[in-house]
Amino acid sequence: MLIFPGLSFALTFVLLMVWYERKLLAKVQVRVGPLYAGRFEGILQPLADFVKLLFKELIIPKQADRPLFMLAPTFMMALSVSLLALIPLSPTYMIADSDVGILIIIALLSLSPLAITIAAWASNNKYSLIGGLRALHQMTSYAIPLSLSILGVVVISGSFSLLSIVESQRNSWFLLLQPLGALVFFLGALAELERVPFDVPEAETEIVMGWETEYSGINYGIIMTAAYVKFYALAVLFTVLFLGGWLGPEIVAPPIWTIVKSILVVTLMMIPRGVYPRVRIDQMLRFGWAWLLPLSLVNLIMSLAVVALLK
Amino acid sequence: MSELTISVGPQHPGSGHFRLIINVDGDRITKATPDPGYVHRGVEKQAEYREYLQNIPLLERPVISDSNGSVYAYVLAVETLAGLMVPERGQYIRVLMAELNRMMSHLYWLAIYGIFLGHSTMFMWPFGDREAIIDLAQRVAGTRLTYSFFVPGGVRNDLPDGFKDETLRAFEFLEKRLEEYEAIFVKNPIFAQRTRGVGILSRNDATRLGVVGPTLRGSGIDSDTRKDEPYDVYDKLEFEVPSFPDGDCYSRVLVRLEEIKQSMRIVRQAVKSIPEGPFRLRLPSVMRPPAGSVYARTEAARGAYAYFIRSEGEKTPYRLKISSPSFRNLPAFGFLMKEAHLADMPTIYWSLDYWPLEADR
Amino acid sequence: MSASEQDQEIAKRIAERFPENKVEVPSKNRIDVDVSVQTLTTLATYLRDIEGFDHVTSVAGTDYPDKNLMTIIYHLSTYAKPENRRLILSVSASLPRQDLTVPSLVSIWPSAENHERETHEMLGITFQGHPNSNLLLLPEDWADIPPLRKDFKLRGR
Repeated sequence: MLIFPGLSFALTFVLLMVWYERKLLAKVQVRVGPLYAGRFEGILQPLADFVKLLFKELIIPKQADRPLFMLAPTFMMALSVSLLALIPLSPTYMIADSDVGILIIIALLSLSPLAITIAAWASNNKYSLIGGLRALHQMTSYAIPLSLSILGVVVISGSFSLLSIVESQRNSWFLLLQPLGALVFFLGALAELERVPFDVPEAETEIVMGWETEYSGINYGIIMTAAYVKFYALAVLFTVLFLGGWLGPEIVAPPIWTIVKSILVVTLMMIPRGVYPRVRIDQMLRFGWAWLLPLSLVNLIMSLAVVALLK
Repeated sequence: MSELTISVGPQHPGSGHFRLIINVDGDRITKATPDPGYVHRGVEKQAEYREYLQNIPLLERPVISDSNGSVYAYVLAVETLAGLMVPERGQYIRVLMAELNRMMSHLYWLAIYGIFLGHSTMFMWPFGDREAIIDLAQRVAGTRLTYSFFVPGGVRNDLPDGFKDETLRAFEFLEKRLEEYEAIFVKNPIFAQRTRGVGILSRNDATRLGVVGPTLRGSGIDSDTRKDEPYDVYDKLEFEVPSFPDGDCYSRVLVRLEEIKQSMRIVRQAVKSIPEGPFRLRLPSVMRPPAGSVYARTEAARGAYAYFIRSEGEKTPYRLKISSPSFRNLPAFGFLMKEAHLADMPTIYWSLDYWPLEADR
Repeated sequence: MSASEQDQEIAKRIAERFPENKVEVPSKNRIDVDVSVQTLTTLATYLRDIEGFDHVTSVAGTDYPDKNLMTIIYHLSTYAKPENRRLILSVSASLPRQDLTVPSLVSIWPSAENHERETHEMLGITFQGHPNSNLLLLPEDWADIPPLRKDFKLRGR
C-alpha cells in the first residue's frame, strides 16, 4: 500500500516524468536533452538535480516571515500527496475509497491557491507579490470550470465515488459522452498546474520567478516535487474520469492500463510547452470566464437533461 | 493597493545590461523610465587616443551581434575624409558581409523574443539556424562575431574558393526554415494575441521621437539609409524595404522577418555578379586624413548608424561622435509603456530591439 | 533639378532668410549652417516648419581648449519628405568656454532630449529649458570634470 500506488511509486514516477518531459521537449527543439547522468540517455538526471538541490544553501531573506515561509512548501506537498490517497489505480491497488471521493478532491484542489498566497506573502518581495496575486487569480478562476466539468461526470455516472465512476464506463468511456467536459477539464488542469501556456505566475522575464523567487535549495525542490506530484495526480484523475481508468482487455493487469493511459495524458499535457508562448493574464482570465465557464455550464445542463430524459 | 515601483534592473532575466524603473498600479504600468549607462565605457573618448586603423576593433565591440554594421559607417567616414575610392570587388564583399550580419542579428533577435514571451522552441530553432550564417562569415573573415574585417580602402581578405556554392546551399536550407518559422511562430494564435495591438507607435509619434530602423518601418515610414543615401554598391542591387502600417509589435516582427528574406536576395545577387579585381587599396598603416569634418551613415541591423568625425590632420581623430540606433530608440520606451499591461513590458521592450552596449557606448 | 542643385536651392533659401549666418554645401547631400547662439531658436523653428526637418539624428559637442571655445552641432534630417531623406543638415554654434549656455531645442524637436542630456554630462554645456538634467550614462556618483573635455586625460595613454 505504501509502495505500489503510494508515495514511493508516485515519487519514482515523478522522477521519470521529469526526464520524459525534458527528452520530449528536446526532440521538438532539435536538441538532445539529458544525456550523461545514468547509463541510459541521462535517466538519472532528475535524481542528480534533486541531490544537488539538497546540497544548496537555504537562503531565507531577512525580511521574510520565517514560519510561514517554511510552512508553504510543506503545505503544498501535503496537498499533492493527499490527492494521491484518493485516486485509485485499480480496485485492488488503492489507498482509500470514499463515497464522496470527488468532493474531497475538488476541495483539496481549491486549497492550492491558499498555499501559493502564503508563499508569496511570506517572501516579502515585490516580484513574489505580483506572481502570487496572478496565481491566485488564475487558479480561482479556473477552479470553477474544472469543478463543473467534474460534476458533469458525476451526473452521468450517478455517484461521487471514483470506483463507481470507472465501473459506469464499461459500455463507453466518458470521453465520448462528455467531450466538452473532457476539454474543459484538460484546460483547467493546465491552469491549475501553471503549465505553459498558462505559466503566467512564473513569467520569468517580467517577474523573475513569480512567487517562487525567494525559494532556494531544498525548499525549491519540495515545491517542484509537489507540482509534479499534482501533475501525476491530475493525469490519473483524467484517466479515471474520462478514459475508463483501469478498464481494458485482460492481457495485462488493470493498474498497467491506468498507467499507460496516464502516460498518454501526460504527453498531451507536455506538448503545449514546446509549441505555445505564454498568454497574458487578462487574456487568460477573459478566456476562463467568457469561454470555459459557459462551456462547462452547458455541459452540465446537457448532462442533466440527458439523464432526466433517459429515466 | 497603491502604486509599486519595480526596478526591472540589471539583475533580471528579462532586461539585459539595462534598467527600467516601472511604476505599476495593479496590472497597469503608469510610468516607465529607462535608465541606461550600466555599460558605458567611454568609447568616444577612447577613440580620440587611437589611430584610425586601431579604432576598428574598438568600434565593432559595442554591437557584437552586428559588428559590421557599426564599423561600416566609420570606414565610409574615413574614406570620405581621405578622399579614397574603394575598388568595386571590395565594395561587393562589404555589402555581402553587412547583409550576412543583418540576418544573424535578426535571427538572434527572434530567438530572444521567444524567451521574453516564454516560448522556448522559438529560442532554440533560430539560434541553431543562425549557425549556418555564422559558418559562412567565419569562412570569409576567420572569426564568428567580431571580424575586424572592414578597413578604410576595402576589406582585409578576399572571399575563399567555393564560397558562392556554400552560400547558395545555406540559403536553400534557411528558406525552408523561414517558412517553418512563419507557420509555427508568426501564425501561432497566442503569439499573435500577445503582439497585435500592443505598443502602437503612430507615424507622427515615430517621426517626433526620431526612432530608426525596423521600429520606424513598422510604423509605416519606409525610410532606410540603403535607399535614402545609397553607399557602396547598394544602388546597383535590387531589393525592397519592407514597411507595415500598423505600428504594433506584430508589424515590427513582420518587418524583421521580411528583412531577412531581402538580405538573402541581396547576397544572392552579390555572389553572382561580383567582379574580379583588387579588393583593397594599399594604404599606409598610419593614416593622416586632411583636416575637416564628415558625417557618414549606414543602415545597420537595428537602424541607421552614423559617425561624425572631426579630423585636425593628426593620426588620431580629434572628435568621434557615434549616433547609434539603440540610443535613438530610447524615447520610445517611456512613451510606449505608459498605460500598458505589466506583461506587455517584455513584448514592447524587445520589439524595439534595444542593445544596451550600443546605446551606452 | 539634380540633387546637388536642390541642395543649393535650400542653402540659398536659408541664407536669404538668415543673412548673417554662414551657409555652405560642403559635399553631396550635406548642408552646413553656422549660427550664433541667439539665432539658434529662430533658425530651428524655421527649419522645422518651413523646410520640414522633423527630427534630430545626433548632437555632437567638441571642445577646442586652444581656441577657448566649444562647438555644438545639431544634425537634422527628415522623414516626412522622402525626396529630402538623403540630406543631413548640420547646425553648428560656438560657445565661449567661460559661458557654456545654449537654449535647449527640446520644445522644437523632442527627439533631441536624450542627445542634449548626454552632451550636458559629457561636456558640461548647460541647455536652458531642458526638462531633465540628471546624469544619463555616467554613474550617479560621478565627481570628476565632464569626461569629453580635453583636460580630462585618460590614464595610461
